[in-house]
Amino acid sequence: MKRYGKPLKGSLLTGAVVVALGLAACGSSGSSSSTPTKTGAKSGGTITIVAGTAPLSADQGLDFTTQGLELYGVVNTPLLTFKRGVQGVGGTQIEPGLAQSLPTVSNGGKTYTFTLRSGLHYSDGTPIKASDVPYALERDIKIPWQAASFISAYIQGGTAYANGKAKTISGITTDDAAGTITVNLIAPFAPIVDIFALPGTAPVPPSTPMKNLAGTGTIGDGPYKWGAITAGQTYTLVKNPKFDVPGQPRGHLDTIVYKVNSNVLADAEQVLSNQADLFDPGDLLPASILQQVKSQAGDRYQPIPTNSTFYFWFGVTQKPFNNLYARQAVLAALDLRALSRLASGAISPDCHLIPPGIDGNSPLSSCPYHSPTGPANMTTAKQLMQKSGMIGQPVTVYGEERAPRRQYLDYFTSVLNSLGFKATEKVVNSSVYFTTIGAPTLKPQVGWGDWVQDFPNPWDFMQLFAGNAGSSLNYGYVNDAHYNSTLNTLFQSDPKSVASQWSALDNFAVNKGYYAAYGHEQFPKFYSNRLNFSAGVMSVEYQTDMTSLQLK
Amino acid sequence: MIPDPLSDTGPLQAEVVAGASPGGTTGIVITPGERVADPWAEGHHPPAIGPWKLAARRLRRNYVAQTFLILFLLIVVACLLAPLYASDVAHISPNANNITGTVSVAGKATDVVSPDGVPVGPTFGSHYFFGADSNGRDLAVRLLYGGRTSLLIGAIATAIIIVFGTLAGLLTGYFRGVTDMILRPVMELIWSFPVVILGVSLGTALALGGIGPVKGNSLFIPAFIIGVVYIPYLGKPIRGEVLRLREQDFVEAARVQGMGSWRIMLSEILPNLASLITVFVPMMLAYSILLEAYLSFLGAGVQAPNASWGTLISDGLNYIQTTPTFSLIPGAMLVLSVLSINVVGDGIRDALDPRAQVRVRT
Repeated sequence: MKRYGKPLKGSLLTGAVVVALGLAACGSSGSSSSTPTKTGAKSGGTITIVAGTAPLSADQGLDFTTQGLELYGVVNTPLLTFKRGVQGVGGTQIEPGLAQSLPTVSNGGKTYTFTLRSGLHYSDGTPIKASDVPYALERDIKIPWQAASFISAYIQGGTAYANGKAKTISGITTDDAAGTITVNLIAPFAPIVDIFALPGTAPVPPSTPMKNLAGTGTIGDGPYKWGAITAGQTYTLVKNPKFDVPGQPRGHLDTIVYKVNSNVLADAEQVLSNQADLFDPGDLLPASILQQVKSQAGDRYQPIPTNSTFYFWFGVTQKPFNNLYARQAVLAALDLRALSRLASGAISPDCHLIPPGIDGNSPLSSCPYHSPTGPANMTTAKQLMQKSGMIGQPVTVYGEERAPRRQYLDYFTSVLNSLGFKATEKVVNSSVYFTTIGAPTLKPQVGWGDWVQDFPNPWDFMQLFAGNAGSSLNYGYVNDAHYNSTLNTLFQSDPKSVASQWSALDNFAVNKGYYAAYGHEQFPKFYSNRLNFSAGVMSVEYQTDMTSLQLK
Repeated sequence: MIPDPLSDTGPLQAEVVAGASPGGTTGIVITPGERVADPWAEGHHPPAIGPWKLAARRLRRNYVAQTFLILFLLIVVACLLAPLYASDVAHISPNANNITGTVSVAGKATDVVSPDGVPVGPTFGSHYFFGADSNGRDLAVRLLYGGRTSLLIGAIATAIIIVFGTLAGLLTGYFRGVTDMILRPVMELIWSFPVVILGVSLGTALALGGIGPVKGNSLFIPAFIIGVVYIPYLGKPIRGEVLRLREQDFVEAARVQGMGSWRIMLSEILPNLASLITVFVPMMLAYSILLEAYLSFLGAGVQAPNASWGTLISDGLNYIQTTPTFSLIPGAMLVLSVLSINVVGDGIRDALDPRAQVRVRT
C-alpha cells in the first residue's frame, strides 16, 4: 500500500512530459469518459469491502495511505485526475478533473495555469471557486497532509506559509470570475502535475475547518460523498447526486461500506463465503487460505502486479549501520526467496528500489552478493561482518504488527542475530507505524518499509532516501551528496530519456547499503460472487477503483 | 428420644471414609447418637501429629490430586528439557527462521515453507514434529520453550502476588488507620478493573517503553503486570484474616509482653496465615498462567520473537482450518497445566482445611 507520503504523480510521460513540452491543450475538456461502464451495466446496490487496516483519516488533508486514497479518491476530485476505469499502466495517464484541460506551462516551466470548469458544485450544492484550491493547499500544510512537503517545498511561498511567516501561499494566485489558478514554482518541477492529481489537493469549501476531520471527512466534489464514519472501523460512501464533473465516471453502486477488521484471514473468509464483497488489496491473502481461494474462487481472484517496493532501511547516522560493511553484510545475508514466501509468494524478489514497471528498473543480475532468486551468501556476509567490527552490537528492529509484516520483522531480526548482532524486535501497531518511525525524536536503527507508486516516475521511489527533500520518509536519515545531486538533476528530465541514470543511482544506493529492498508485490483482486469481476478495475494509482464496481 | 451427645457414654462415633470430599480425599463422618469407647480414657494417647504432617498425609491419600501433580511435573520437566530437545533432537533453536529449508517427510524432501507460503504440517519425526510456522520455525521446539516462558512468568507473577499481597494485607489489617486508608483504596482500585483489560492496557504501554532498565520485550514485563493486577486478590483476604487475628488473645498476650508490631506480625500473625497463603499459591499460579496466555494472545504479553503458549495459539489461528494442531496443541498444554494446578490446589486446600472434610450425618 501506498504508505504515507505519496509524492508526485502524473505519469511522467503523459503528464510531466506533455506539460514540459507545453502541450497545453492536449486532452480537451471533452475528453471521453474513462468509465468502465458498459452498456447494460447494473447500477445501484450496496457492497461491503473488508480491510485489515484503516486509513489514518477520512480527511484527504491529512491521510496519504492506499486505504485512504481508495475512499476519498472518489469523494474529492482534484484539478487533474488519473484515468479511471483502466487496469494497468494506462491508469497512470493524467487527464483533466475539475480543470478544463491540462495546465498551460510558462515562465520556463515555473508557472502552471489551470482553468476551472464552470458550473461545478460540491456535494452540498456549494459552487466550486478557483480560490478554494489554494485554501485546500494551505489547509494541507496546516493540518498537515502527510505529503505536504510536496506543496511547501516546490511552490513559491509554501515554506513561508508552513513556517507561519505568511498568511497565504504567495506563489498561488486565483481569479474566481475567470476560474483561473496560477501556480508559481520555485524552480521547474515537472511532476507538479502529478501532485495536482492527488485528492489531497482537491478544493474544499472555504467553510471547511483547518483541522483533521477524521470522523466526518470533508465536503467533496466527487462521484461519492461520505456517509456514516466510525473512525478506524467503518467508512461509508454514498453516491453524490450533485456530481457534475464532465468526463469522469459517476460510479455504479449506491453505497459502499468499508469495514476494518485486522483479522485478515477472517476478511478473506468473508469474501470467499460471499458475506463481504471485496477484499481490500492493501492486505495480502494469508497463505493458509490462498489455496482455498484459488481452488474454490479462481474465477473471482487475480493477483495484479503493482509498482511497489518492499524494503528494510538502515539508520546510517548511528551504530551499527553507520558502518558500510555492516549494511552490506545484511544485504548479503538476506534470502529474498524467504521474504517472498512470507508474502504467500506474492512478492517478486528484487534488490532494487525502482520496480519493473517504472523507467530505471535494473536487471536482477546487477544485485550484489547473490541472485535475488537464489540463496543468501552467508560466507560473504560473515566476512563483511568481521570487517565491520560490529559483532555483538545491540540493534532494535522496527516493524509492523499485522501479518505478514510481523513475519518480515521476525525473519529480518533472525538474520541480524545470525550475523552476530544482538537484535531485538519493536513491533508497532500498524495504524501508527509510519508516524512512529518517522517521528524526528525517535531516529530508529533499522526497520521495515514499503512504497507503492504515486505516479510512474522513478523519482517517486528514489526520493525516499533524499537527504534534502524535507520529507519524513527517509527513516534512516540517509544524506549522500552524490545521491541528492543526482536525484535533483534527474527529476527534471523525462525518465525514459535518463532511465539508465536512474538505474545507476538505484544500484549506487544498493551498493552503499542505504536500503535492503527485497521485492515488488502483486496485489490481490478478490471479489464476492455478487460483484462483476471483469468490470472491476484494480488501478495502479487508486488500487480498487470504486467507480468501476458494479453488482452482477 | 433424642440422645444427648454430651452424655457420659463416650464421644461421638467417628469413621474414616474414602472419597467423602469433593476432591476425593478421605474424611471423617460423625454420626450423632452412636457411641464409641474413648481410646484416651485409659491414657493411651496417640502420638501428636502436626497440622502440616496431617495435611501431607491427607494429600497423599488424594490420588486424583497426585495424578495431576505428576502430570504437571511431567509438563514442567518437558519444558525444562527444551534446550536439550532443540539441540539434540530437532537441531534448531526456537527463534531460528528456516523458511527456505527442507525437511524429509515420508522419505521425500519437502519445503519447510512452500513457495506460496504454506508451512509444513506435523511430520511426527525428529524434525518439525508438530510442523513449522510461517517463518519455518519448529513448532515442537517453540511449544516447549513457550511452556518455559509461560510457567516462568506464572511463577514470577505468583511470587510477586504472594510477597506483596501478603505484605499489603498484613500492613492494612494490622495497622489499620492511615496505612489502611492509603493502601486499601489502591487495592480496591486495581480490584475494580477487569484484569484482562487492565493487563492489556499495561502490557501495551510497557511493551513499548519498558520499565526503567527493563526493556519492553523482557519476560519480566508481563510477569510484573500480572503480579500487580492480582495483588488485591490475595491482599484483601489476607487483610480480613489479619483483622480477625489481631483481636485474638495470643496477639493481645504478645502485645502485653511488650513485643513490637513488626515482631507480632512476623512471629505471631504470619504463621497463622500460612495455610491461607499456601492455598492461594496454586490458585494464583493458575490464574497467572492463564492471564499470561490472554495477554500474549492479544499481543500485550510475551513479545516476538519469544514464544509462549498464548502467542502460539494466536499464531496458529491463521491455520485453524488447514492445520488446527498449530493452535490446539499449545491450547491443550495450557489447559492441562492449568487443570493440573487447579486440581492439586484443591487437594492442598482440602488437606489444609479439615473443616472441609467433616460432614455431620443427620
